[in-house]
Amino acid sequence: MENLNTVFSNIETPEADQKIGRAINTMLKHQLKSELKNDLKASFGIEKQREKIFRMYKMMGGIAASLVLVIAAWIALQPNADYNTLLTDYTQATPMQHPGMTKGLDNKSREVAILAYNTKKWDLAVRSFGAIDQPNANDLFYMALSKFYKGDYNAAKASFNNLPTSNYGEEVVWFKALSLMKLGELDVAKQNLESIQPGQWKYKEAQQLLKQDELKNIK
Amino acid sequence: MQKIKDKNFDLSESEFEKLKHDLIQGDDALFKQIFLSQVEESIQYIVRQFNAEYNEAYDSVIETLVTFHKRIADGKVKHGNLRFLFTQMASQYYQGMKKRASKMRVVEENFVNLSFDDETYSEDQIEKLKVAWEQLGEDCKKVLKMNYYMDMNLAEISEVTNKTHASVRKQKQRCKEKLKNLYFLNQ
Repeated sequence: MENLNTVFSNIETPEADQKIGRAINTMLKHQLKSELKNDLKASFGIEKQREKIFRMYKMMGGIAASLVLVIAAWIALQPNADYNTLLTDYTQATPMQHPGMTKGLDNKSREVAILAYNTKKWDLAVRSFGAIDQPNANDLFYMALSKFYKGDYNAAKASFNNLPTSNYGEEVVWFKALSLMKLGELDVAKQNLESIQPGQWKYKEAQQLLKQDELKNIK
Repeated sequence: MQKIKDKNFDLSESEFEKLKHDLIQGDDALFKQIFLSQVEESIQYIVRQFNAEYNEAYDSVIETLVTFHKRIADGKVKHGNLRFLFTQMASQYYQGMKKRASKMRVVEENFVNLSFDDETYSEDQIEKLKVAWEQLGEDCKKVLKMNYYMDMNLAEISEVTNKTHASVRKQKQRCKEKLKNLYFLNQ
């Protein structure tokens, strides 16, 4: 591999001229390639990454689902799982996967945020979701989740409290309850858990938590 | 007449010459307009022909676009059957990619020694060069691009830019110095 610093330190020789030419060519090709990719995506909706991301999501979704099943089975087999263990298990469960970009909602910050979220770079995800010009309900939900997974339960609670109505209503109740429990606000957490109805997301887990003395004894 | 245009992405010979002229002048709007609109068709061709993964076909077509861009500007691709040439080149890229070969032979008379990007420099150095390049004035970019990217010699550049050979030579030297200084400034 050539060293451009060395090449530039003596630009007079014909050999150096050729090397500078090669470097400029490579750089211009990179530049053109990236321009063409951007234009293809913007004008024709053709891109490579999205397919890759979806494939990655599919795979990660599969892994996540398997892990959730294993964790759920493990929890079910623990007759006396205590409150702290349950809470730790639930807060540290495999993060929900972001399903990816929606066609027509392309946005650089959103793209970065989703990638950061799905690769568990929570700080970057929070910043990038926050940088989206006109965030939709999903963006705000995943920003709140990023704060939750980051362990910033105060910020997560505030975000969950301020979310607009979305398709993630059941998820919001669950994650808000977990954030509140982490913050020691058990009475409000209990109310949230009690609002989860049979058939709704995390009903069984909520019931399991409600059976624990720490919540059961709250009037 | 229409058949010839079909074979050339709807470009007549004079339109193709204009496209080439624009590229030399640093304007690739027409190139993009013509070639980007048939990318999907080319990707699908590679997918069908070689049972290829979409992403691999996409990569092959992008590589072909970049090569085509340069070769049209270089005058190495001629009006005649651009569609066939493009598809052939994309196929060659795909097959080369699959074979992990660094170089391929192409039988088409218009081009030979089709090769993948020669990654002689690290990504990091290329990124620094890109930053320096962006800070370079338009005139410098133009003369260096013509000389290095479009393989035009100083006489050809002086003809295109209406400058004397000596002034182009001096300008190129100045621009190289400038690029060098900007490159080191960004270290």
